Amino acid sequence: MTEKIYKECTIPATEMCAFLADYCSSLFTSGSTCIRLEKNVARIAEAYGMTVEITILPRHIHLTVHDKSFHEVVTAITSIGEGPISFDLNTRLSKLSWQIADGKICFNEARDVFHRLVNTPYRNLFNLPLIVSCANASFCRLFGGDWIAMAVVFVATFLGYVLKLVLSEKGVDYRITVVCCAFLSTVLAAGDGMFGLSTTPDVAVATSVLYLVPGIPFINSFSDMLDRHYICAFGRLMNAVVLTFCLSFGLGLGMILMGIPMF
Amino acid sequence: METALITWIVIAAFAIIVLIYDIFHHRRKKELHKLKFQHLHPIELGKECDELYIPGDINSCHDSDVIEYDEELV
Repeated sequence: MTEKIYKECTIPATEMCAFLADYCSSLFTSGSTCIRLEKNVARIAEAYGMTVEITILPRHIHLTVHDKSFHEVVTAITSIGEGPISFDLNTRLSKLSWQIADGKICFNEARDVFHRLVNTPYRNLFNLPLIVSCANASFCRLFGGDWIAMAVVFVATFLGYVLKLVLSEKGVDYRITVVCCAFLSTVLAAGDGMFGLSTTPDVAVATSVLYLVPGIPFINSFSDMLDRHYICAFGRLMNAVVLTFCLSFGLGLGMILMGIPMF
Repeated sequence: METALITWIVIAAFAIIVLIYDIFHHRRKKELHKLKFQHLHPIELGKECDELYIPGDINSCHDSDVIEYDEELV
């Protein structure tokens, strides 16, 4: 089997830096850890005979790209965008870095592919909400909920998750999105107790918002801390804490409105 | 009890409206995306790079940037 391999092209450092800045921003937004970001970016730069140094801050990334002889040195600061975490995009961007490193793709094509990746709505209409709803219904069972409570949690999670996707696509602040989704899921799950459907309405309400728990920011924060990116780790931790507060606020508001006693 | 019931009905109706909106919005977005990217070459990597060659453009690739190798020999 014969395969084409592209030799190192000469890319101006300015263009390389601009590409890497966009790449970093998208990769970080999609939920990548700092160590992955550093490795992927270094891999791409290395493929074109350049070296990159990165400073990762909670809301900005600072890049310096230079060639081996330091004839061209370019620095860029890029803002980290707001967006939902997407491991699908994360994986595709990593794959792109390997395609570049293996010489299977040239710079122009890499830019085209990158542009397509970040602009493609990869989500299937119902796949993700259905899977998340099944997971949440399973949590309900694990915490002692009966089959009807599981069904209620499934519906509440499904509709809450659809709202989350719609609000995220509309560019609504993620913290407001979490409050709205937690409120909606809580109110819908409270229908279990209100209509007397199951024997475990409390479990239904408690587990209906578990899909909003910011698990990935917490894990990424710990990963960054292990990698000695302390500022970024603290930033992610604070973000996760704020999201947990938003979740609790939405849950509490729903419980008050539905007349569910808290303690 | 009445307040809770009204709240539940309003929220349930809102959730269903969001669901219906998402179904139609998703379909429209998919079509728009197809229109936006139809001019680009297929995503299959490394297949059509030669077509991107622009004479004088240092970033475009062409045959001199390409070496062939036999994977079985490596």
